[in-house]
Amino acid sequence: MSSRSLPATRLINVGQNGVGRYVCQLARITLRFCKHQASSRGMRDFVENYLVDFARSNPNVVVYVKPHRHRGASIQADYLNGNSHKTRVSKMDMDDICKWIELARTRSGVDIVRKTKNFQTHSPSIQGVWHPFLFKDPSVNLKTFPDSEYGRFEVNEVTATERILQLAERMKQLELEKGEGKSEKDGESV
Amino acid sequence: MNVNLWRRCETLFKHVAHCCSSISKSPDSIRSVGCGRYAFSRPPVSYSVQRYIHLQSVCQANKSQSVTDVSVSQSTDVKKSREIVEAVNTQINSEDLGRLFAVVHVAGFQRKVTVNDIIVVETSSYPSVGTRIRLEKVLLVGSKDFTLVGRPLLSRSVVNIEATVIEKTLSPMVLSFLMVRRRRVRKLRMQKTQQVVLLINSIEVNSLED
Repeated sequence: MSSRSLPATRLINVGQNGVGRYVCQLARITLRFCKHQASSRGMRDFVENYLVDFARSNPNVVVYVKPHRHRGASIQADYLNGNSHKTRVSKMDMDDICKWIELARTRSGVDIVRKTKNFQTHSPSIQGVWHPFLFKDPSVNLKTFPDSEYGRFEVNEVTATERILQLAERMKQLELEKGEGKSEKDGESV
Repeated sequence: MNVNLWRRCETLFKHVAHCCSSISKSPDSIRSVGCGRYAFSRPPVSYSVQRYIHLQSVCQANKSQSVTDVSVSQSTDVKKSREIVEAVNTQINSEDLGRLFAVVHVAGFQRKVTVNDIIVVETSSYPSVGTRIRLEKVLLVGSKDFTLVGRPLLSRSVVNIEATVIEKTLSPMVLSFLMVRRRRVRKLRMQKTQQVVLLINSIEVNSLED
């Protein structure tokens, strides 16, 4: 299925988070696991080793630990915007569970769906929209085209014909000078 | 057949002629490009401008007969740039600066941002949520009246852009499916990437030095 057919939302900043100070959006985390089954081994390790540290370092997050007999381990994260997300973590080891809990903590609680744009702005343009007549001389408005001035073809360098003409002029000048010199000499001699 | 060949040749000649005309544009004609009927017929490309600059530099290096002209143009350029810097500085120091925008380079991508914008950065290693960071690769800063363009970056003393990491999540599942017909080739790849959401807190510009 192509991504075009899937639903998409804009990028959302829940409650203008971070404009003043950052507020952790995770409100409550519920850890469910079995005390006996091998599939909950990783979760039991996490509860023994890291859970107290996690609760201490995140005082704004309520932590529930719920043993369920003969059920797979899962993490339920409840967010300030009312959303809750459940992750099944049975048969996972402790490191993977740490990563999933870290993801639950750092998320904002918005559903993970395709985004139309990966930026969100309320002021899309500050200098105004560019158009081809920006910073142009307004006298163009009154011109009728084709215009001799605007349609002029200019070459910045000296063209071959121009160079030949220049050379011809120089030669003429030299000849004139020579002729003058001859005449002067003739005059002297005479 | 001969007719077809002739037609092809004709089109080729036309094409060559068009290329030649586009190469030998002068700076004055570029100014007029984009107005009136000729807006789209003439590509705004100039090689002669480049060559002109090159020639100027050669003159400077060789100290040939046109050195005086170059020095004059340089002095006028310095004067002009000073005037512009002064105007920008007065604008920066005034209260009427208004909203600023900037082009920043984050994790391999360039983004245009203003204050209170949020942007998504696709990267795995980034500081944890709540940390305030400074975006140091700034390519451009603009206000309503002026734009400062870096070559390629603006210096740290000129611009200060601060942002907060507000979220670290996963992208939605991206499916890439490869199938080759009649060859029994089917490959389905499912992928989620790590995303970081940044909120731009402030964009500050300090006055320029000469």
